[in-house]
Amino acid sequence: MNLIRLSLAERKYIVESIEEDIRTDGRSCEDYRQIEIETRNLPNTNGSSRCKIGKTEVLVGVKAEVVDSDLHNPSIGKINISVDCSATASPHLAGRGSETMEQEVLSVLNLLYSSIDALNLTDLCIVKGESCWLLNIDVLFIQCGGNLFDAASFALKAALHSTTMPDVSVAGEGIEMELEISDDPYKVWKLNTSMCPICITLYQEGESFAVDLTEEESECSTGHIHVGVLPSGEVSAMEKSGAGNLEPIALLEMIDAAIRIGTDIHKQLHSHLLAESTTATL
Amino acid sequence: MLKAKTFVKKTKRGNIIKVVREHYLRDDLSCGSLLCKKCPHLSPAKLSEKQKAVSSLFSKPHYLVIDTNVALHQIDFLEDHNITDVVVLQTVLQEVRHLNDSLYKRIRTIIENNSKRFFVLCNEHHRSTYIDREPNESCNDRNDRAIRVATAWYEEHLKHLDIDIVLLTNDKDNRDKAIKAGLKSFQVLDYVKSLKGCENLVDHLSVQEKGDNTSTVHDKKVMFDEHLSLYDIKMGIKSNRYHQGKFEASRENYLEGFVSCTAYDKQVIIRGLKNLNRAVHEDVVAIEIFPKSQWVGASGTVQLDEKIDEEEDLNAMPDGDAQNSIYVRPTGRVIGIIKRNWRNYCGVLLPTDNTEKTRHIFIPSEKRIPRIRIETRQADVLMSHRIIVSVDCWPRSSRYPLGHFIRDIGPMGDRETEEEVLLLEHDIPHLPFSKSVLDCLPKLPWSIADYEFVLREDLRNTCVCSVDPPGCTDIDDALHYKALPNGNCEVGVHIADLSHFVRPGTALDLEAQKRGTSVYLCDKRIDMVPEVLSSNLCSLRANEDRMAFSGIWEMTKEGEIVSRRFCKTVIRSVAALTYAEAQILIDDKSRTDPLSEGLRGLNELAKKLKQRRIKAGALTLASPEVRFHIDSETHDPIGIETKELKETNSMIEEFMLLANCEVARHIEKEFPQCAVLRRHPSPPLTNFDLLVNAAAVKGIQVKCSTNAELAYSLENANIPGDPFFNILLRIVSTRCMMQAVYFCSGMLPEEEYFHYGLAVPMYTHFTSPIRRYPDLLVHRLLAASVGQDKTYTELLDRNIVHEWCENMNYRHHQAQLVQRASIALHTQLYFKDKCLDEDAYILFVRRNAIVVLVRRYGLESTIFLKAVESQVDFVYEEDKCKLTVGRVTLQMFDRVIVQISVEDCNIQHKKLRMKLVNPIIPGVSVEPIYVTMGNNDEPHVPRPDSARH
Repeated sequence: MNLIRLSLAERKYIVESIEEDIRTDGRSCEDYRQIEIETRNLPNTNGSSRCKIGKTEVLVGVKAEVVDSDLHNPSIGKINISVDCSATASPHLAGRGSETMEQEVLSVLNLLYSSIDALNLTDLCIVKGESCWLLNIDVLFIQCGGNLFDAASFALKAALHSTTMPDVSVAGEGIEMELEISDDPYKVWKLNTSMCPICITLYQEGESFAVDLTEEESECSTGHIHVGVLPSGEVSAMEKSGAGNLEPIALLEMIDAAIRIGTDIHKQLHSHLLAESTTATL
Repeated sequence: MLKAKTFVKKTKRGNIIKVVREHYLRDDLSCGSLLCKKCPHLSPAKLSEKQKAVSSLFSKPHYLVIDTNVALHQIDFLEDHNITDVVVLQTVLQEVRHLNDSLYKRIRTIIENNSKRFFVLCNEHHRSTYIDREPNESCNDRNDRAIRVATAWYEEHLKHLDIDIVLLTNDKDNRDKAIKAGLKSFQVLDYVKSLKGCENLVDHLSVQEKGDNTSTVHDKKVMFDEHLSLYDIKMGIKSNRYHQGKFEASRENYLEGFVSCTAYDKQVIIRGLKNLNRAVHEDVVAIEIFPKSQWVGASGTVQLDEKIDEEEDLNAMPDGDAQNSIYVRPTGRVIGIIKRNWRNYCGVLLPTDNTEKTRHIFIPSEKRIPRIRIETRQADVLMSHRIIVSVDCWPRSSRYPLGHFIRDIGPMGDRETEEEVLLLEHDIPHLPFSKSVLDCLPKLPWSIADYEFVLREDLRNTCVCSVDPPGCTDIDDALHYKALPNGNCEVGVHIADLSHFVRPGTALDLEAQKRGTSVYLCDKRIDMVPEVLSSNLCSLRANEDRMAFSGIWEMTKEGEIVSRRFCKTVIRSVAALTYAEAQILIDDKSRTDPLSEGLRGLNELAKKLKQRRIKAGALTLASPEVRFHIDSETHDPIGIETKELKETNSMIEEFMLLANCEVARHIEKEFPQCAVLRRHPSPPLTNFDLLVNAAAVKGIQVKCSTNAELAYSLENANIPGDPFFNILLRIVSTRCMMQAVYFCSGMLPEEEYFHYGLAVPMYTHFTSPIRRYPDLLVHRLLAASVGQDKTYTELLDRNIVHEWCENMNYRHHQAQLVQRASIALHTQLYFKDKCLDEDAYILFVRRNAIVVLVRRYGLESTIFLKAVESQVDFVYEEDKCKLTVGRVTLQMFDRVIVQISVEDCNIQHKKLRMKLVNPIIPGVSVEPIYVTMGNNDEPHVPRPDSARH
C-alpha cells in the first residue's frame, strides 16, 4: 500500500511527533479518531452497518441463505466473508490496485472469526446434517483513510448485531422434510454477538507505536500487529504484518495497549448498539 | 411518502430470501363518489346516489364495501345488474387475484362496466387508509383490518353527504369488529333479503355461507372421509405414498371413476362413493393405491344415479363381479383434491311434486357430473327449463355437492335451447365476433389489389373447378388438370389463401386461434373466421377472381410425382360443382369440354393414387354418418339419410391427401423444429383384443400387428349374406385406434411423426384453412418457405407452437363431440312422435347391457337387460364378448331388431330409448310393431333357439 509519496522531512516530522505522543492532528498515540457507527441502513439485507473512522468509511451487509450442511460439521452453520473496495474509495486503488488490500483485510477478518467462539455457529444449524444457514458477509470500503482493519471489524460486529434471521420451522421427516417460513415479519431471532472480537491494529513508528493511523502516518510505519480482542479483554487472535521487526518487549507493551483500548471500545460499541436496536423499527 | 414493505419468502429452489419493496403512499387519490367535492378527481368518479336496488335496511342511499370472501364466493350476486355502487378495495382485488385468476377476471369485467358503478379504491396506496401489519397479526387479520379502516375512512370522508357506507362480509368476527367500531356491516344474505324487488337474487347466492347452514354441519351425519390437506398430499406424493392424477368419472357407471397417473401404465380404478370421496369429473386428485390383493377390473356394468334416496348406502359398490375380471387394474381411493375443475353446468331440475319448496336436485346434462343440490324460489318456472348451475362446495355431510342457480337458458325441448346447451357443455366459443375482430376485415366491395398480380402467379386462364357437398358455401379447395405435351400431366390443388387476410397477432387471428376450428351442427355452422371471409372473400366461388395458395405437381400417368412447386396464385374457378354433378360430367362420355376432360383425368389419377396408398397399408375406416333433411321454415329435421359416398368424393380426398402429405414433407424439411404436423400413433396391440376375439367368434381371423395387415384382414373379412358385417368390423376397429393429433415437429422424435391410418411417415393439414386453424399455420410456414411471406417470433418458437397444437387438439375434439351430440339431438327430434322397429347390430356387449347400432340411422344406443336379472341367469363371457340370458345368447356383431321411440314418460328428460324386439327375452323384449314394418325385405333374424349352444 505504498502509494502516498512523502518527502523525507514529512516522514521525520510524523514519526517524531508520534514519539512525542502528539500526533499531527493533535491526538495522542492511543487515541482513535471519531468513530461513527450506524446499523440497518441496507433494508434488503438481514443485517447491515456503516462505520466511519475519520475519512475511512466501510459498509457491511449480512445476507442469510439456506444451504446444505457440511458433511464433516453437520451441526453448525457457515459464514462467508468477502471484502470489496469501491473504485472510488481512494485514487490510488483504481483498477486492480485494491486487490492486495482486500486480501489483507479479508485474511484478518477470517482470522478473527475463525475461532468457534467468535460466533456461535450451532445457532445457524437448521436441521442437523441436512441444512443450515450460510451468512454471506460483504464488506465494502467506500472511502479509504487509514486503519481499514479496525473499521472493518467494528462494522462487521455491528452488522452481525443488527442481523435478524427469519424464523424457520421444519415439517416432515426424511425425504418429506420441508422448511417453512412464518409469514409474520415480526417473527425473527437475533444472533448472539457477545463473543465477537474486534480488531485493534497497532503500528510501530520509530521507537514508539500508535493506533488508528491516518494514511500518511501508515506510510511511515515499519510494521504492525492486528490483535483480536474479546469484550472480556482476552486476546483471541494476533497477526503481524508489514516489513519491520518488533522488539519482544515492545510487542508485549503493544498487546497490553491493545487489550486496554479494545475493552474500552467494546464497551462503547455495545452500549451504542443496544441504544440503536431499541429505537430501530423493522 | 415512502414506505418499505419487507417480507421473507421461499424460492422454488428452497432458498429463503428477504424481499424489500418500496411502497409509495399518496394523498391525492379520489374517493370515487360523484357527490364528493373534496377529492381531486384524478380518475373518473363512479359512485352515485342512485342505486338500482333499494334496501329496507337504510333510509339513505348507500355504498357497499365488500370483503374478499364476498368477492370470492358471491361473484354471481355482484354480477347481478341490480347491484350497483360498490367500492372494491385494492386489498380485496389483490387477494382475489392471488387466489383465483378467473374470478379476478370476472371482477375486472364488472369494474369495467360503467353502468355497474364499481369503484376501485387503491387503499394500499392511500395515505389515510394504509396500515402496517402489527406484531402477532396474521396476514388475513391485517387485510380485514385494512378493509375496516377503509370503510371507516369512507364513513368519515362522506360524513357531510347523505350516504351510508355498508360493509358486506360473511365473516362474523370481521362484522362484529366493524360494528364495534361504529360501522354498518351486514351479511350478504341479510342484505339481499332486504332488497326490494330482487327476490330471485337470493338464488344466486353461493351456498357456502348462506346463512347459518354451515353451523349445523356438525349435527348431521358425516358421510365422507375428510380430504387431506394440500400439504399432506404434497408430502405423500413426494414419498410415493399417494399419486396425483386427473379424475375421470365413468360415462357408464356413476359409482366408478378412473385416474391416470404416471406411476401406472393403466388407469387406476376407483369404485364406490366412499372411495370416490367427492371427486368430480376432471378434478385433479390425490389417490392412494390399495394393496394388490384388492385390485379389481372395471365392472362392465352400466349404472346411472337415478335414486333420489339421500340415505343411500355409501358403501354401495358397482354391480358385477369385478374381482374375477381378467382385466385387473390398480385400484385405489381418493384421499384429497388438489384442484377442483368445476365449471358451470347445464342441466335440469329433478321433477318434484312440490315446487313450493326451495331445495331441489339438479341433474347435469353431462352424465359424468354428479347431481347438484341447489336452492331456488323459482322452481315452478325453472322446472321445465334448461338452466345453468354453479357448484360451490361439497361438504362431508352431503350426498350431493351444493350449488346455486346462475342462468335460465330456455324451455326444455326447444331446439334453440338444446343447441345452446350443447355448445355450452362442449365449451365451444360461439358468441358473435367482437367489434375488434370485425374491424380487421377488408371493406366490401372488395377486389384483388393490383400489386397482388405482381406477387402472384396468374392462373385465371387455367380451367380450375371445385367439388363439394351440396349447399357448401365455404369452398376452400379447387383443382385443375392439364395434360402436358411430354405425356405427363399437371395437377394443381388450389387452397383459399386465408393467410392473406388473417395476419398474425391481429384480433382476428387471436379469435380464430381460440376457436381453432369451425363447428358444424346439423342446421348451423359456427365459423372460425367471420362469414365475409369464410363464405365470400376466401371461398373459391365460381367465376370470381380469388387468391389461392397452390400446389402444382407434374405427374406421370401412373401417379409418380416428377416435380412440384408451391406458390401463391390468383385463380378463377370455372365451376363450383357438387359431388353428384361432377360424377355426371365424368360419366357422360359425350362431353369433351376441358372441364369434363380434366375431371376424368383427375379421377383416373386418383384411382391410381388410392391403389398405391392401400398397398402401403392405409386403412379404410368407417363411421356411421347420417345427414338430416332440415325443414327450411321450422328448422326441424324431416328426414334422415346415411351419407352416400361417390367416386368423386374419393377423388377429391385423394388429391387433398396428396397435397397434405407433400406440404408436410416440405415444411418439415424447411422448419424441422416448428412445423405443425398431424400424427396418428399406432395403437397398442391390446386395443385390438376385443376386436380379434369378437371376430374370431364369428369365424373371422383379424390380424393387426401392422396397419397393412389390419387393412388386408379387414378387406377380406366378409360373411356371405351379411354385407354390413364388414362395415361393422371397420366401425369397431376405428374405435380401437388412437386419436390423431396435431403436434409441433420439434417436440417429438422423428419416428413418432408417423400417421398410422394413412400409412405415411408425415402428414399435416393444409387444405382447409377456412375451417381449421392448423391449416392457417401451415400456410404461413409454407408461404415463408417459398419467400411469399415473413415468419414471426411465435411461429418459430416450438414451445408456443406446441401450446397452440394442444389447444387445436382440444378444440378439434370438442367440435367432434358437439357434432355428434347435435346429430343425437336432431335424431331425437326426428323420432319425436314415432315408434319404429329397426334392424340393428350389437356393437359391444356389457355385463348387463348391449350397445347396438341401428344401421339405417347410424344410431347408437345402450339397451339395459337389468330388469330380468332376478329371474333369468346372466352369463357374461368377457373374452368371447358374449352374454347369455336364459336361453338367448347375445354376441358382438349379432343382428337384432330394436324398437326406437322417444321416451316421454319423463317430461323433464326426454331421450331416445331403444328396446329389444328380437331375439325374444322374456321380461325384456317388447312386442314388435307390425304397422311400421311394411317393408318387403324383412330382415333375417336368428331364431333364439338356434343361438343356443
